[in-house]
Amino acid sequence: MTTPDLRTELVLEERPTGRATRLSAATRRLQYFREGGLVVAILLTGTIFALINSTFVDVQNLTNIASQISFIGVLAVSMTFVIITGEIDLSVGSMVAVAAVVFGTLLTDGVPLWAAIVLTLLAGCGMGAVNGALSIVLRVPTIIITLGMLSAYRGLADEVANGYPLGNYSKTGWFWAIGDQRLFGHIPYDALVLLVFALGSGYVLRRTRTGLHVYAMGSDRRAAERAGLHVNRIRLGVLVFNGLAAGIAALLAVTQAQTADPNLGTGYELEAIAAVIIGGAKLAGGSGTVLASVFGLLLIGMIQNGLVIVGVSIYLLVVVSGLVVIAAVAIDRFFVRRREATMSG
Amino acid sequence: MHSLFSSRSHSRPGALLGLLAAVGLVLAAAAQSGVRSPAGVSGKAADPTIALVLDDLTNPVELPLRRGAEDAAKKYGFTLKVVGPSPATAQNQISLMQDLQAQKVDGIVILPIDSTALVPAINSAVGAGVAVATTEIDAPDSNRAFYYFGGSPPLLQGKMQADRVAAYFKSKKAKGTINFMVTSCLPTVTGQQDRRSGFEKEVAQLNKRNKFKLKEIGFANTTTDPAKNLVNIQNLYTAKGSKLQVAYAMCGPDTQNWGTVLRRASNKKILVAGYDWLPGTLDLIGQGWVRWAMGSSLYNEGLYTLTTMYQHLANGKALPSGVTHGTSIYATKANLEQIRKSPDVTAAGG
Repeated sequence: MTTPDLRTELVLEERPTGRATRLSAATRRLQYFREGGLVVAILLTGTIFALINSTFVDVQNLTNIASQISFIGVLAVSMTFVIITGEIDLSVGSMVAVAAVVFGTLLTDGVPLWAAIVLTLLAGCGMGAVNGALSIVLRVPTIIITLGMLSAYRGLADEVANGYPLGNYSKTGWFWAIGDQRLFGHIPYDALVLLVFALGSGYVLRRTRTGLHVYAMGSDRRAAERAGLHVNRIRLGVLVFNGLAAGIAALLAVTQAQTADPNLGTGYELEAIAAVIIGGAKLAGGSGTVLASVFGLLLIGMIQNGLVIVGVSIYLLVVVSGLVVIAAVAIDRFFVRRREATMSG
Repeated sequence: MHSLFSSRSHSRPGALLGLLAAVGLVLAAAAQSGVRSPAGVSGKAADPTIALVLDDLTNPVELPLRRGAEDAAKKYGFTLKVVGPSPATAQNQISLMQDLQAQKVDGIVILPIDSTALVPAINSAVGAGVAVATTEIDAPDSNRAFYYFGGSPPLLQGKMQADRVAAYFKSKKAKGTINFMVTSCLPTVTGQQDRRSGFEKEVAQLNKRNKFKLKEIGFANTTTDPAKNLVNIQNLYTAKGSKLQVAYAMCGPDTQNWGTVLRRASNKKILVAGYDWLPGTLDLIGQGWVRWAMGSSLYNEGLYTLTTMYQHLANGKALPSGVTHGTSIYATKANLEQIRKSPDVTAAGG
C-alpha cells in the first residue's frame, strides 16, 4: 500500500547533479527530507550548547536526555495519531496519573507485577475508550471532552491514592531496572522502550491500511466517510491507543521516580502536543509523522537539559526555552516552504 | 442499523439522561465524603462543622495533617470538611474561603498558600463570626485566633539546617570553600521562601567565624511531579555535581530525587541535607545516600488545631492566641526505626 509520504520518498531517491558539490548535495537531500528542518535545528541547538559547555555532549548526558524524554516521547508518538486525525486529547497527562496510581495500588495490594502491568495498560485503554465513547455518544468534540476529563482523571488519581505517593512495595526485579539501569552501562532501557514503541507505531502509520485511514480521516473527514470509512471507529481507536500510551508512559515514569504519585503527568499533554506541532503536524489534521514528533520532543528535551547545563537562571530558563522552541519551528517551516516551492516548481 | 460507531447524527436523549444520572450519583456520593460525627447529632454546639483548608490537595507530606484532623473528628464527633485549591493558587484558596463563609461553617483551620494574599479572606471570615486558626503556614497580619506549627518555624528550620551543615564540615576540619545548592519544589510558598532565607542568612553569619566558607552556586525551582523533578535534579547534578558538596533540598520530592541521583552515580561525596520523611527518603537515609532529613509533626498540627477548635465551638473553651510550635527533628541512620514508627510516617503508609 502506498502512503501519503510517497512523493517525499521518491524525491529522496534523486541524485545530485554533476556540478553539485558533496555539501550542496547533502543540503539538498536534507531539504527534501521531511524532517530535515528539525535535524538542522537539533544539530544547531546541540552545537551551540556544546560550544558553551562541552559537558552537554558527554555520552552520559546525551543518554540522560534519551532517558528523560522517554515517557513523554511515548505520549508524543500516540498524540501524533490523534492530531493527524484532526483531534486533540488534553487528558493524557491526567491519564498518566491515574494509570500510575492504579499500578501503585495494585502492587501495594500484593498483585503480581505482571498482572499489575497488564491491568495498568488496560486501565489506560479504558480511559481512552471513555474519552472516545463520550465524544461519539454525546457528539461533543474530543477537545472539549478531554478538557473535562483532564480534571476528572486528575481528581480520580488523587482519590485513588488519597493524595499520597504510593511507594511501599518491592522495587527489585527486571521492571525496576528499566528506569534505573542501562544496557552495556550506557543505553537507558526506558529509551529503548520508546524506540521500539516509536518504530512499531511508525510502521503502522506509514505502512498499513490503518495508518492510511488515519491520514484520510484527518485530511478530509467527509470524503473519508463517503469512501466508506468508519470515522468514529478510527477516532475511538486513536483515543484508546493514546490511553494505552498513557499506561506505558506511567509505567516508565514510575520506574524512573520509583514512586506512583498522583502528581505525575501534570502538563505532559502540552509537551506531547508541542512535540507533534514542532514536528510539523497541522492541528487541523492530515499531516505529521512519528519520526518528526520524536525529533520535536528530542529538541525540547535538549533545550531543557542544555539550558540547565549552561547555567541559565531558573526563571530565564522558562523564557528562553519557549523562545528557542519558536526559533526551531521557524527553521523547520523555512525548510518546509523551500521543499514545497521546489516540488511545485 | 446504527452502530455505536456510526458517524451519522441522531439524538440520544437516553444516553444524555444516563450521563446526567451518573453525574448526579457522583455528586451525591461526593456530598457524603466529609468525615461525619459518629453520634450524628445536629446543631451548632453539639455538632459543629469545621473546615480544614489545605494549601495543596496533592502535597504528599500533608497527608499526616489530614489524618490528624480526621482522628480528631472521629474522637470528638464533629463534621470535618477537608478542601484545597486545585490548582494550588492563592486566588483559588481565597475562593474556597469565601465558599466556606457562605456555607456558614463554624470554624476554619487553614494552611495559607500566601501569608499576605489570604489576609482579607481570613479577616472576612472572622468578621462573619467564623473562628479561624492557621497551621503549618501562618498569616500573622490577619485576625486569625492562633497559629500552630508542629515543628520549628520555617525561618528557624533554615537556620538549623545551616548550623547542622556547618557543624558537619567543622567536624571534618574542612577548609576553603564549600559549594552548596538549594532546591525547592514549591518556591512561591511562603514556608519554603522562609527556609531558604533562614539558611542563607545563617550561612552569612557562619562564614564570618568558620575556617571554611559556604558558597551558594545555584538555586533551582523543581516541581512536585516526581518524574519531572528527577529530570531537573539529574540535569543539575550533571551541570554542577563535580563542584558541589552540599545539596540543601527544601522539600520531599527533591530530597528523595537527590538521593536517587547520587545512588545511581554511586556518589557519596555530596551531602544531602533534606526535608520530609517520605518512605523513599527514609530508605535512602538507611542506604546512606541522604545524610539527614528534617521533619515536623504535621499529624500533631491536624490533631491539635482541630481538637482546640472543637473544644472552643462545642464546649466554649477560649481559643489560644499567638503562635505555638513544636521542634523539628532530624531523621538520620541512628533514629530511623523510631521515625518509621511515628504517626507522621505510619499515617502516610510508610
